[in-house]
Amino acid sequence: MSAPATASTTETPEPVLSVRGLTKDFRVGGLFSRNSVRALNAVDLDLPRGRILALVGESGSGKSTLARCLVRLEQPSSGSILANGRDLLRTERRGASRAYRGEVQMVFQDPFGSLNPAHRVDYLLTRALRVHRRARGAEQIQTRLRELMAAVDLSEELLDAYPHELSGGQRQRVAIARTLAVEPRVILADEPTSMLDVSVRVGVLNLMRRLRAERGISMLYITHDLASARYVADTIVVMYAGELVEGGDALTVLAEPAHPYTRLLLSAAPDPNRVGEFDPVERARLRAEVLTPTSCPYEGDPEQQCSSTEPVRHQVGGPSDAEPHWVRCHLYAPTISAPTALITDLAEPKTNETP
Amino acid sequence: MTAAVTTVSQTAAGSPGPTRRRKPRSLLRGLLGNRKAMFGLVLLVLFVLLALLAPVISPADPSQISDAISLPPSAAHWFGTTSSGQDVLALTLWGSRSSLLVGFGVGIAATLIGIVIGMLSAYFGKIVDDLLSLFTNIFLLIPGLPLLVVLAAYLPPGQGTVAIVLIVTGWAGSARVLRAQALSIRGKDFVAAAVVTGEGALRVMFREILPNMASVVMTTFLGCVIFGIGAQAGLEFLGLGDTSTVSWGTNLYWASNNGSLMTGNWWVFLPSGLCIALVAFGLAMVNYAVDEITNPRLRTRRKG
Amino acid sequence: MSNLNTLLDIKNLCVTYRGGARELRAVDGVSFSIAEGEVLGLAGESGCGKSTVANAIMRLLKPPTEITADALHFEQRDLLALEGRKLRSFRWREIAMVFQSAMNSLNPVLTVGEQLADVFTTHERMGRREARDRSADLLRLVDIDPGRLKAYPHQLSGGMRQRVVIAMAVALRPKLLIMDEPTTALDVVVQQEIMAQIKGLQRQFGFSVLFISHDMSLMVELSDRIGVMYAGRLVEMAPARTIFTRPLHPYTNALMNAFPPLSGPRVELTALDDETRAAWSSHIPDLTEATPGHWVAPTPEGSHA
Repeated sequence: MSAPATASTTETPEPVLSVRGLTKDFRVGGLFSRNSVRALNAVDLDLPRGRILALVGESGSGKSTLARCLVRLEQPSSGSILANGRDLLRTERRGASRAYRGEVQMVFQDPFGSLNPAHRVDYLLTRALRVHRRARGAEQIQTRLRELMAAVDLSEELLDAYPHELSGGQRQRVAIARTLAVEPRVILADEPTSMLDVSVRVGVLNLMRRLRAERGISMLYITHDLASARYVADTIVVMYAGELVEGGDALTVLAEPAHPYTRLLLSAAPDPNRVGEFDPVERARLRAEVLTPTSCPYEGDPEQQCSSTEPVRHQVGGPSDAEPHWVRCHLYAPTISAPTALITDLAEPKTNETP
Repeated sequence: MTAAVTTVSQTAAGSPGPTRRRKPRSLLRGLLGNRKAMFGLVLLVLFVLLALLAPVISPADPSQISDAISLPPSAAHWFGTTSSGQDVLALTLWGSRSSLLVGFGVGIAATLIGIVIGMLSAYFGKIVDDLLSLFTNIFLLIPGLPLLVVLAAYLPPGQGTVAIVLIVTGWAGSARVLRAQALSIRGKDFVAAAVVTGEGALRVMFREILPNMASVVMTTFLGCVIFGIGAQAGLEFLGLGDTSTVSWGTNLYWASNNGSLMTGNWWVFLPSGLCIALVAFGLAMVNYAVDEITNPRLRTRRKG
Repeated sequence: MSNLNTLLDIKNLCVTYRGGARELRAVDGVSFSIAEGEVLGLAGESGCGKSTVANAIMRLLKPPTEITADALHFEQRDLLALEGRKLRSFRWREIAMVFQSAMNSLNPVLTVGEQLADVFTTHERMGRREARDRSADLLRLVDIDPGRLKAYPHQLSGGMRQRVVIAMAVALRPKLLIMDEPTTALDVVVQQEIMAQIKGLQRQFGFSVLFISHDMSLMVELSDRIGVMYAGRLVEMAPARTIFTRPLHPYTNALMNAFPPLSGPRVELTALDDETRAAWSSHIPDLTEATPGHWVAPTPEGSHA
């Protein structure tokens, strides 16, 4: 990605967090096995400051692994995580420093599992405040607790409640309040609404938008649901089999998807507004384009030469776009046996293809 | 029919939970309401009281030899006398002190060691876990009784020795169980969330993971106490304990040594044996109750 | 569509679960009907009672659970009166059901072929060879190579297993197929293919479908009519397109809002907050016909646009 920033009215500010060449292998099999599964493969990603970036992909694509690496719950096999110009994997080799924890927080997917059932809500929030010294003294803490509950639209009375007394939506809001207590610069949200009842999801998404607008917190919203990604995010990146295939402004990418995988995801997303029925032939064609590509429409790109061995990125659209829309070269096929639904869940090839 | 009918709307999706209700210490509250638990607890409290009050209520000095030899129970000696003229009731009452002290002592120590080792193993994982597990497994594999015998033979006799020997042979079982439980909790999201919030290792282990293990710790503890009391009695019966102290086990040892078993003087050995059995029974009852309370599927249906 | 015969007629169905001293009314006065060849969607979230309705129709609920209804009729036959052999022969032949996560409940130690053949040998007293042939036909019906008859469930992917389960359900050509969240556990790419499969089968054989889900967008694509349930009661019932374009009840609106559009401008969707929910959820009145064919349970502050 080398398009020089020409003097434009909207300068993309320095990203708040970046990864370069992030790779993560998981060892499978017994204690002495040599086999491993590559969950992330040389991922390059910038988290824009003060914006919501959606990371979209199917289950098993590696998106949760990326989040866990960013929040230092997993140790990457190689690569670097850059914050303030320094590589954290070098400066904080063992584990995250308290300072880092005060900057980067995470909301987990399962509202029923991410709150300790043995503790009340006020304990969970108070700990977050205490650990990072965001409040001192009983009175300051009480004030902060009230502010936090108000910020996530929860009644103060719930401070005395145990997690099992709250509904899923309420628990998720408490989880968000806990991250806010730390006053982070980045919040990673790993599928925060997928385990919530459908009618409460929008409320949580609206809350995220509001937090971004009011407090300027940068967010990484991880999901498999394109519709909610479109609703909440400013920019979007698409992940497939541990690698990023496309990225750019959310509305643009979803209106004009450039990579066949993005097109495949989009065609699969439930859309009652869509005209026309499911076309199995088109689906098969898109699949083939993803798994065994034969050509790339960006051949002849002056900036980046097409390559089937290097994951080069082509620029889509013009250089004057506010948010650069890039796509990975189509010729580059997945190198790892991706256990995604695309490959394993193919309908059996019909013996006689119906035209 | 006066059963309250709850409509689903009160529990439907998204509705707020009951407003501000302090959760009672549900385990304790549950225990107090459970018949098995009450029975077991009453039994245990009774024995503890007897042990504490032994100096006061004992009819005689248990070590006092007299010439009232091998008398069956009577008004003067409620439990009769031994072949050395000692009052069996006094022996039983005084014996409870040592037995319960060592039993609970072993229980507490073995459980504590098990918690520490299990928790460290589960939290740090990888090499620490491998090493500690290896260590634990070695102690599990070593045959208990022979080890007990060997250690008891080499260490100076005394209550302390017995306790140490039992702790050394008993901690591994609880360590393994507690490690497994800690591991399963370690993998939960709320532990990861605590780490992400910035909590240190000690805090995560003892304020996040441990509170969720309360019932397993309880049952492990009770199991260790049963082990302590039973194994102590076993050791002493074999003569490997401190034969000069008075405990249920040594009572049985002397009973066997002095031929009470042969001559059928049942009043000499029955009380001590029965006490051991009753205490173990009480502990087991409480144990079942804790299991029942924490696992709703085991609850018996209440009538009405 | 309205001039077809009524296949399933339910009036005032109530299901009460009993446990010890407590009772829970899971379904509270639900009434609807399904015509021949019609696809009715039953929407709602966890705990609303939609699965209970399905289990009640299939007579899968045992005492002390109590089922009462003014009418629970299938082709004019009273379902509540069926017992024993008649009940067993009616199940699977007349009404079949695909359960939630059924693909995970396939017997792991039997091959797919054996399980399919079981359906025939149990219900139709067929010989093994004929059962095997019919099983092969069934697999072809759901676009699976008949060679897979010898495979074990764990050797198939999630989507394929779900198709096997669907095949088992339609094996005896039932008149009504009940599907309880058939695509929930599947990846979004596969969901669409399963839905297409179901649609194809429905067109081919003309059976009615009771489709239960919380996913409104899937339901709109497949159903003729949709009923929305909350807390054991119906809050809205209308043709699918009408529910999609003009939901009247605030809860239906909330369910629709959960699926933001994939095209068009980004508009802020209003969430259903706890206060609004509390206003109408404590007592849900019976459905009234707002416009012809469109039934809504009136809400205190009037209809919500």
